[in-house]
Amino acid sequence: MLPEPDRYVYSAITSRPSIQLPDGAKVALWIVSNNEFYELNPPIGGVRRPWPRVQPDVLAYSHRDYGNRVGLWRLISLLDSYGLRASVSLNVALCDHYPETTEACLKRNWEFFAHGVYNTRYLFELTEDDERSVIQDCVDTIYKYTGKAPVGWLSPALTNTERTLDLLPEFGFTYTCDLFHDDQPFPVKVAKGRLISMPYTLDLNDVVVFASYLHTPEYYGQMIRDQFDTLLAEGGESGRIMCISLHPYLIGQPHRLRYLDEALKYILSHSGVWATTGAEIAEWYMAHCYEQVLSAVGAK
Amino acid sequence: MNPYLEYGLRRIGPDHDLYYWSVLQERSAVRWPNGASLAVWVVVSMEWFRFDSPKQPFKVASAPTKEYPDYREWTQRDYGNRIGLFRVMDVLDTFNMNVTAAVNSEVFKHRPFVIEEANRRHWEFIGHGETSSVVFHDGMSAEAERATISQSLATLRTVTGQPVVGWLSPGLSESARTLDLLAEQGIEYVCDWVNDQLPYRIRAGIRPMYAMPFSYELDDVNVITQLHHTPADYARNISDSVSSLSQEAKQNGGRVMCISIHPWFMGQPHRIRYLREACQAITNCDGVWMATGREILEACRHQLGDLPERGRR
Repeated sequence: MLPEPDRYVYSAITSRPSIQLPDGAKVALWIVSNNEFYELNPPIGGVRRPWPRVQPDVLAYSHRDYGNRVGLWRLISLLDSYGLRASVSLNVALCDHYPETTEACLKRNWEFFAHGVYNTRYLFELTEDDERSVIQDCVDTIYKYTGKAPVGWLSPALTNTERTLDLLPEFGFTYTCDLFHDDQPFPVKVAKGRLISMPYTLDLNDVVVFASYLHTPEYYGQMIRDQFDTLLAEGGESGRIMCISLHPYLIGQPHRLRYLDEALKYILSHSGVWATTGAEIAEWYMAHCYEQVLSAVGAK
Repeated sequence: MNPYLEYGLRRIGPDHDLYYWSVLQERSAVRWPNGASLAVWVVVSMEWFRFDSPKQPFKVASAPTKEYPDYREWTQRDYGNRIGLFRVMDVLDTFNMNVTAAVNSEVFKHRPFVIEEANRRHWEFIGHGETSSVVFHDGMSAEAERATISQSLATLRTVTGQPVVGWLSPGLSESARTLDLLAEQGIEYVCDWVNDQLPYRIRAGIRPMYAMPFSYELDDVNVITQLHHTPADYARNISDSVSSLSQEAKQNGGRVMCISIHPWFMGQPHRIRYLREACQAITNCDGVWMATGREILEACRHQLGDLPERGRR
C-alpha cells in the first residue's frame, strides 16, 4: 500500500495561472446523470459487500431500478425544458439490459462516459489483465451503442486499484472523475500519455446529500445555489467547474425534482455560465490550459 | 461476589485522578481583558492523512473511510490544502479573527505552503500529532507515542519559530499516558477534554497543565456529518451559542467558546457562506474577545491558580 497517492503536483488555487473559460464564461456547468445498473445477485465475498442486506435485496435493488423505469425520464424532461444536456456516467451493461435509456440520451446529444460494467462489480483486487478487460468492455460497449468512444472515466462505485489511472490514457481516456482535490481540471500523473482530473462532485452528489448528509431535497436546492454563488464570484478571476451529480433513482423522485428545477432556473438566470459536458471541458483544457498549468506548477 | 458488580472507584469525585470536580457556575468569576465577557477561539485543523490509513483501533471521524485505494476521500481531504483553506482564510481575514492552527507535522513535509500562509497571518500553532490517520491509544507503545509527540512538536517549533504550548490529539484520542508525555514536552494546555466552558487544571506529572475548552458540539464535521444538521443550522448553532454564553458570562464571569473548522470541509463552495454568517454573528455580539488558545490561558492562568484545591477530588 502506498503512503500517499502521488497523482498530482501540489498547487494552491491562489498561486496558479488563471484559466479562461470559452466566451468569457466564469463557471462551467456540468450536469452528470449516473445511469446505473445494480445486479440483483452480484458475486459476494470480495472487498466490499454489494448490498447491505441478504441477497436478493429486493428493496435496495428496486429502489435503484426506479431510476431506469421512471426517474431518468423525468430528469430528461426537466433538462429538455432548459435545453440542457448532461454527461451520462454509464454502467455499460445498462446498454444491454435497457437500450432505450441510452437511445434517449444519445438522441439529445448527451455525452457518455464510462462508469464500469455494473455498479455492483468493483475494481478492487483485479489482475492487470482483468482490469484491462473491464476498461476495454466499457470502451467497446459505449462505441457499439453510441458510435463514439468515451473520453471520460469514473470507476464503478468509485472503486480503484493503484494502477487504474495509469491504464486510462492507453484506452483513449483524457479525463477521470475519481479525484476530488480541486475546483478546476488538473493534470494527473500517469505512467504514459496525458490525463486530467475533472472536478466531479461528492458534495453536490445527490447520493451523498440524501444518504450521507441526510439533508432534505429543499436544502439540496439551497446547496446548489450556494455552490453556484461562490464559484461565480471566484470565476471572474479564473474559471471554475461546477458539477451537479445526479442519480435518476433519487433526484427523479416526484418529491425531489422540483428543487433541482428551481436551482437550475436560478443558475440560468445569470450570465457567465457555460452549460457543457465533461468531454467539452476536457477538450478545452487540453488545448488551452494543460501545458500552461503544468509548466507553471513546475512539473515535467 | 460477582466481580462485575464490584465498584472500586465508587467514591466522591471523578473515577480517575486526572482532574478535580468543580461546578462551573460556582467558581469565582474570571475576567477577560478590556472587560470582555466571552473569549472566542477559532481552531483550524491543518491535516495530512495517510493513503494507507490504519483503521485500528478505530477510524478518526474526519479520516478517509473507504477501502484502499481510497482516492475518493483522500483527495477530498487534500482539497483543503489546495482550495478550501484559502476560502476559509479569506473569511477569517475579513473578520480579523485571531486563529489557532492545529497542525499535523506531516503537513510541513507535503504541503509547506499552507503553513507559510498561516504563519504569515500570525496564527498560533498547536501540536496535532504527525498525521490525523494515527490516534493515541493504550495499544500503542510508550516509545512510539513519546516519539510521535516529541518529533511532531520539534518540527512545529523549528518551522514556525513559536514555542508551541498547546496540543490537540488526533481524533481527540489519548492513551492513559498521553497527558504525562505532553507535559514532558512542554505542553501547557490540551484540547481533548470537551467538558467545560473555562480552562481548568488537569493533572499531568509535575508541571501545571490545563484543559482548554474545545468544541465538539460546534465542530463543522461533527455537526454536519454526525448530527446531520445543515450548514445553515451550523451557523445558527454558533450564533445561538455566542449569544447564550455571552449572556451567561455577564451574570457569571468569563466564558470560553471554541469553533473548530476543517478547511477541506467548511471550505467547500456551498458551505463557506455559513462560516461567514457564523463569523458575522460572533462579530456582532458585544463583549466578545477573539483570542488564541495561548492568549486565553495567559489571561486566566493566575485567576485559576487555586482551583484544584477548592474543587473536590
